[in-house]
This record gives sequence, structure tokens and C-alpha cells, in this order.
Amino acid sequence: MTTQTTIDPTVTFRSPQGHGYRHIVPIWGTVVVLDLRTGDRAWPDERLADAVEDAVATMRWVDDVFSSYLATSRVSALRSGRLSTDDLDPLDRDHAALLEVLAACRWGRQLTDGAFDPWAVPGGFDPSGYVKGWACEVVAERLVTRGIENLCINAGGDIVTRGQARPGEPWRVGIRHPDDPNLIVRVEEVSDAAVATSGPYERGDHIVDPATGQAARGARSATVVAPRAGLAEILSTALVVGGRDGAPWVAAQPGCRAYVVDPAPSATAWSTSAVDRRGVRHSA
Amino acid sequence: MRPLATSVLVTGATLAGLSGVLVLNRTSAPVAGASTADAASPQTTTASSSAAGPSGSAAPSSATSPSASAASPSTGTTTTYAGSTYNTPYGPVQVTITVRDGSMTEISLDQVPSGNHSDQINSYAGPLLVEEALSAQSAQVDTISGATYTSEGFRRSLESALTKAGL
Repeated sequence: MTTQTTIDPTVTFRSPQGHGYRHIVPIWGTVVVLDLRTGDRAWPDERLADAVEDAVATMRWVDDVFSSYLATSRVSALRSGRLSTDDLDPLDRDHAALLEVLAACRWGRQLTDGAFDPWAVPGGFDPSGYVKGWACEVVAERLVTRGIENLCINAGGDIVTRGQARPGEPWRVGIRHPDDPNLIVRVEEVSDAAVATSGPYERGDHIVDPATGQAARGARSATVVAPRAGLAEILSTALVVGGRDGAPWVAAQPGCRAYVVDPAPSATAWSTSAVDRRGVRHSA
Repeated sequence: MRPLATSVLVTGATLAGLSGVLVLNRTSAPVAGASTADAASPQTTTASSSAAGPSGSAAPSSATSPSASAASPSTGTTTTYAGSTYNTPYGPVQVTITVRDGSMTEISLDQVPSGNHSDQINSYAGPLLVEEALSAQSAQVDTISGATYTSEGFRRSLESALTKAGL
């Protein structure tokens, strides 16, 4: 349980559509998959290794600062009261990141009428969900800066994309069936966008309805496509709480759309835009 | 199940070598009715190069020629051991290790076949919210969004295979 695997494989593959590299990173209590596509240009090993190393280092830094499981993290210090938000120094890299996340979480709480509320969880402020998406964006930007323009980062089911999967083709993201991990119920086509799926139970914890303090029951699964992963996380979490009442929160955000599976035993789902006959949803 | 049978060839032939460079050879086998699928085209692909692991433990013995390592080992007593199943963004996966003359020569990440059915989609338009029947579908996808899974599965699957192999 405590030993972390030392396996860090980088998959290299070629296809007629170009060169691709996949790297799997066990971190954040989950597995992060970096899927990098460099088109018809093969990347030199050293340059690829540098980019991947930087991405992994960034993820570890995020863990060090934000993990609610690490007693030494800044978030743990906030939760225990050893650190006050008033003491955060915007010139400190860790503190600045924490201030940014705190501000985004406050904003998310407001735009979802309090349904997304990282302060209303057992043990105090825990921005883990938001941070995962936010951090994937940070990593994606660093990879793009290094010249990798087409990429998909999947952090335990939360996805950030840049560019295209293949020339002229968006990334096709399958949405997992809430009851059967082997099935998908939807395909979202995205480019330069993020996808987050939340369920009532994640990593053994449940999403709490801030209004009742009980487990949220608004949805069995809530998927949101958004321009950035942090917003996708905020909205998908809020929809698990608010269910259909949350549709306006999504509609109010430019570039966002949702696909939500209703609570059991209902065999229905709903979305905020139309579906074509192949079951593919397109950008609003 | 879907074309992501990924074969990991380990340059270090021992467990310790796992932290070294891994060259993976994706062998894509198009499967009908896959509920999920990997991005890169159904064509057979070959490992073209190796890349250093990220955690500083870079390339102890990148001497292994990728093309040579992609080919199957030819001599020695070779046995494969399958680990337990775990979930990844690409669906359920099982770690299989190949042991030759007491040393691990290969780790494979194999897709675990699963049932798949596809129902028709019923939908009607609404002003803000469109309701439809919850239905499974088959489609080629690049990645999967869903509830969080853990890295524990990978480790357990590998460990169970190692245990069976007596390594």
C-alpha cells in the first residue's frame, strides 16, 4: 500500500498518422497518462526525456504542496490550522499557487451556488479535485512550451487536451459507464479543451452535499467539457450535488457542456446540447 | 478487446531493472465491437526508440536495440505469468510478465476482454437539458473519462505475477 511503484515506462509508437509517446505516472493517488503526439517529427530521446521529466517534476511539486494525504503539504498545514490564508506570501512559489487555487475555489463556489465547496468537506478545506485539473493544465502548458503541441493528459479519468489526436482530428474521449468500467456511454470530441467526470464516490470518499452534509445524490456520474480542467472539475463536482438543477451553471459558462447520468435507479441521462445519431456530441 | 495490447520490454532483466528504461512495443489488434479503443490507428506499430525514465534513473543500459528487443527472445526456458486485473484509462488491464532463465524479460500490459453491448440512443431536444436513455455504445476513442481509479491496481497486478513467477 505504501510502496510506490518505480515503474515509469514511456511507450513509443509510430503510425502512419505520426509519432506518439505515452508516459504513465503513478501519482496523486491515481495514474496520470501523458499522451504526446508529435506528428511527422520524431522527437530526439533526450528532448522527450527532458519534457517528461519536467512534467513529472511538476506533478510531484503539486503533490508536495496540495496533497491532503501528506502531512507536510501546504494544504495539510491549512487544514490543521498551522498555516493561515492570511500568512500566504504571493512571492513564494508554493503560496502563490495555493492563493491561485483558493481564489478559483471561491469563484467555483459562487458560480455553482455553493454546490462546489471544498471547505464543506470532512477535515476542512480540501481542493484535491480542483487541483488535479488545474495541475494538468499547468503540466500541459509546460509541455506545449517545450514544443509538444498535440497532447492528452489523463489524470485518473480527468482529461486535458491540446491540439489534435491526429492531423485534422479532435481527441475522442469516451465517457465511462457509471456502473460498468468496461463500457462507455458517450464520446466527447475535444481539442484544446478539458473533460472531467465526477461520481458520488471517488477514491473511496464521497462528494458531500454542502447543504446537507450528506453524500451528494444529484447524479450517478457527471461529465463536463470546459475550456480548462479546473472549471470542468468545479462544474462536474457541482452537478453530482445539484443534478438537473445544475444545468444553468453549465449553460452560463462559455464553451462548457455537460453529460450527466441521473441517480439510480433511473436509466436516463441528460446533456446540455444535442446528440447526433452516432452518439457523438459536438461543440456548442 | 481493443487495440492497446502493450508489450513492455525491460532492458534490465531483473526486477531492479524495472526502474530503468522500458521500451514498449504496441501491437495493435483491431477488435470488432470494442467499447473503447486506443487512439493510434489500428495499424501495427513498432517501437522506434527508447526514452529514459523520468525519475533520474535514466537509461542504465540503453544498449538494447529497440528493434532487436521488439523481437521475441529466441532461446532459454520462457514462462509467462499473469497478474491480477486492474483498471486504467484504457479499461481493465492485466500485467503479464515473461521470465526466461529466472530473469524477467518482458512485462506486458494486456487488455482484458469484457462484454460489450450497444443500445440505441433515444434523445429528444429540450431547451436547456436534453434527456436520453442511458445506453452503452461502441466507438473508437483516444482516452477514457470516468471515476478515478488508483495506481494500486497496477502494482498489485505486477506483484501477483511476480509472486507466481517466484521472483
